[in-house]
Amino acid sequence: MKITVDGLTSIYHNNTPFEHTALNNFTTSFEPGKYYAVIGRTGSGKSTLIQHLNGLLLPTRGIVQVGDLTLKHRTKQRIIHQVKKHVGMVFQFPEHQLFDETILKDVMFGPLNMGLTEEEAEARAEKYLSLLGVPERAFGRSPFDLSGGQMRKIAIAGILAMEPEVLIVDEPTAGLDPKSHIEVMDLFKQIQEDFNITIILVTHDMNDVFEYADEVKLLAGGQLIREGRTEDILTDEKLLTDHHLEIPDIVRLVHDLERKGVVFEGMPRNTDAFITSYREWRALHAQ
Amino acid sequence: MIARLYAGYALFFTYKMVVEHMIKIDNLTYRYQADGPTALDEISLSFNKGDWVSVIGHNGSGKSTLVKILMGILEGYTGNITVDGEALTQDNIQDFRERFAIVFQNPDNQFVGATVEDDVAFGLENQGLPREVMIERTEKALSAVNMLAYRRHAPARLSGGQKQRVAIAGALAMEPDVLILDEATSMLDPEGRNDILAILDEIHKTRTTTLIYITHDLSEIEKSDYAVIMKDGRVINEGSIEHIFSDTDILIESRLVLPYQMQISRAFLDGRYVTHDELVARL
Amino acid sequence: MLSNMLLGRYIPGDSVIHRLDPRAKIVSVLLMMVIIFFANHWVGYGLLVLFVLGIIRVAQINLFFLFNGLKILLFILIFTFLLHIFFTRGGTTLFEWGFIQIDSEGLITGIYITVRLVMLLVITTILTLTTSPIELTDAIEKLGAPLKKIKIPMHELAMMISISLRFIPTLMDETEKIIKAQSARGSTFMTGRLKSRINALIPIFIPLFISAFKRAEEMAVAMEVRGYTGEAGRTSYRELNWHLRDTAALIVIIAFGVLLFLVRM
Repeated sequence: MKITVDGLTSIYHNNTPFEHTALNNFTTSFEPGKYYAVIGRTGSGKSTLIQHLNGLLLPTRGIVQVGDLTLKHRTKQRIIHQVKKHVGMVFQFPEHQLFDETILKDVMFGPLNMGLTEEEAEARAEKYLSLLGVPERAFGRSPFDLSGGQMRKIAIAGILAMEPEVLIVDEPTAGLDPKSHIEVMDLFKQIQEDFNITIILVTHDMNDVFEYADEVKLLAGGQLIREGRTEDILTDEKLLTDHHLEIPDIVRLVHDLERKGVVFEGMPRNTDAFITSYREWRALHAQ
Repeated sequence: MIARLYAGYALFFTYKMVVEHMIKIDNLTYRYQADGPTALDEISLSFNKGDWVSVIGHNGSGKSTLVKILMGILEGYTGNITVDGEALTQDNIQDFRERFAIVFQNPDNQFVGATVEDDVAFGLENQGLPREVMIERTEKALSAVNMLAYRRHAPARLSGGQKQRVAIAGALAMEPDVLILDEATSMLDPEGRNDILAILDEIHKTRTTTLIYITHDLSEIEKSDYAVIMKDGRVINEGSIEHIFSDTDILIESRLVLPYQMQISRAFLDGRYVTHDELVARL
Repeated sequence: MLSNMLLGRYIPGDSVIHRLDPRAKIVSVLLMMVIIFFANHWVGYGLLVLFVLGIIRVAQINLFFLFNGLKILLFILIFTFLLHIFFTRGGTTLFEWGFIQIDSEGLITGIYITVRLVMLLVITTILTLTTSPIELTDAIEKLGAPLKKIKIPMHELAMMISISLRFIPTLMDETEKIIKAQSARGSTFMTGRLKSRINALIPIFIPLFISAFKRAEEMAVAMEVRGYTGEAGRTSYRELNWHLRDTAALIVIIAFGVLLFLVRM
């Protein structure tokens, strides 16, 4: 499912003394099946943008086209509800949305709202809980007995069970320990590849962006500053520094090594790839 | 003769200064339920005055339990804790509390005051200090964390990183011997986290406050003097940063993630401890 | 809609009214609540309106902004007005149609009562607009100090109010986030039958309560480790300073009360 944003302007508290323009005449698009990262410092308009993509906010001006559904200034609830079926959203700290008595019931909440029958919803919930490695004997337990990382997995399963074609994830690893961090990030990559869905990741973690995303959209002051391939944007140290973003560790390392004369063929995207690249480089230069 | 005496004194004081233990923990054991599993299992540790000590462990490793005992939130442990040579008992816990300050994980849930300066002064009000002293200390503490310009701001107008800086100021204003940071950066963005680490570095340079930095992120411990690795309620390794990273297997077994430079060092440099620059130099 | 509402909102400023001691302002408002009832005919009401307009001017509050912000209470005002018009009898009959009858007395009383209500609302709104919540809390604690004698825990009350006020924006944010999160899961509490709307509130309230309790607990621990043990032995960082202008403000209010009393008929 393709999403097109055309001339989107988003103003909070329009026509009051507290008026604030979060997005200004914003145009971009998201192709099906790709992994996108939306980056920019706090207040750049990232979270406003993603809320427009699934109808949580409606444009003040301009349109958001989701497949053949159009979101405009006064779009009806019925259309918005349709959009939510196609575009799923995992909020920051998604474990804060858990409410039901059992893990299974909580995951069924979204599918039921989408109009599925109890049996269908239960089948979906079981499928995605198993996918996330939640054992069947835990399905009947309360989600509140779990650790933070586990609760987050349940919340993510609740969104996946709605089987969206586009999945938006907002800071999915905030507050997680490094091990769970890697598990959660690997999970999104895996479902993107297995189910061929679009992922739109919003994060401050440039290492994650560099490792996982195909394309990057850089925002500042409610405007699109740059968009394009991850390896082009995240290797532009000046661009990142100008926008108060961190340089990915591997990029910094590769650039530092280049100055020393160690030059690789391509740019490794994570530590393991770096190790392979360096090993190859060494083998090549040992001769 | 006199010279010898002086030399003796000098040596003695140097020794005192070098090995003066701020906190000494002996055989500390704690269970949340009397017949339940041990959350802390015979822990013995000592922290030097003015050091930056990192305590690293996965969730459930016991690091938070340790903090709660030190802060007097949990009672009913066995073992001994001495602070600056004095034993901690049920009776003097209140006095000890004044010597410890802590910054918790969630920036929102520890902001008591209506404004930045009110929040910093909160602990001082509780100590019953005169108003002039409070004003002076509040200003000093806010300057130390670069938040003086925001003194009249309400918390709703601050970022997470700024709120944590205020929390640190609130702790510093109490002029504690020990400042504990309990996963204080885990909810912040990289910018906020780097600000906090830079402030801690400044505090560390003064060598007046012992820093206990609780984290599960091995990439944050570069600046500390001493590190303690915990797993399942036990201390499984402790020592200098070089020492901790000399056995990366233990770290991986403890469900910790090695910093990128250490992963690369494991592949090419026998896993010796390196910083980013050293890694670049050696590859 | 809520963003326009002014009730209970504080807007920082630098007018004389802003700078008055909050205790002076609270006492003034209490006095004004009594004084308003002194007015009993058009001269009194005229003076009252002029006086209140004068205060608004001194407080540098935009009149349009103020009344716009109070629009939400228009319904109550109209209701009161109509109640008096239709049910107060006396004077000459101005209008009669079926069982509906409007007397001159009813019209006049309706207008007077409505003016009174508006003035009460405006006066209290000026107080909250020009006084920060923390100042109000401090003043309530200080003014209520005598109540401690009869075992009313004024300090604890003030601390509770202050922390509640501090958490309002946090909890509002949180509520908004949870509503959005559940709405993204297809929850439809904004549409549908009443029963399904009420059912749809459960996924919002449960997470909200859980989080509020967690926050309260963490806050309590944070306060405890910073040495909070209640009022005993505690000093205060904030200080209220009574100036000459505060005394002057009270004198002005009392003088106005006397004037209004004198023009009574």
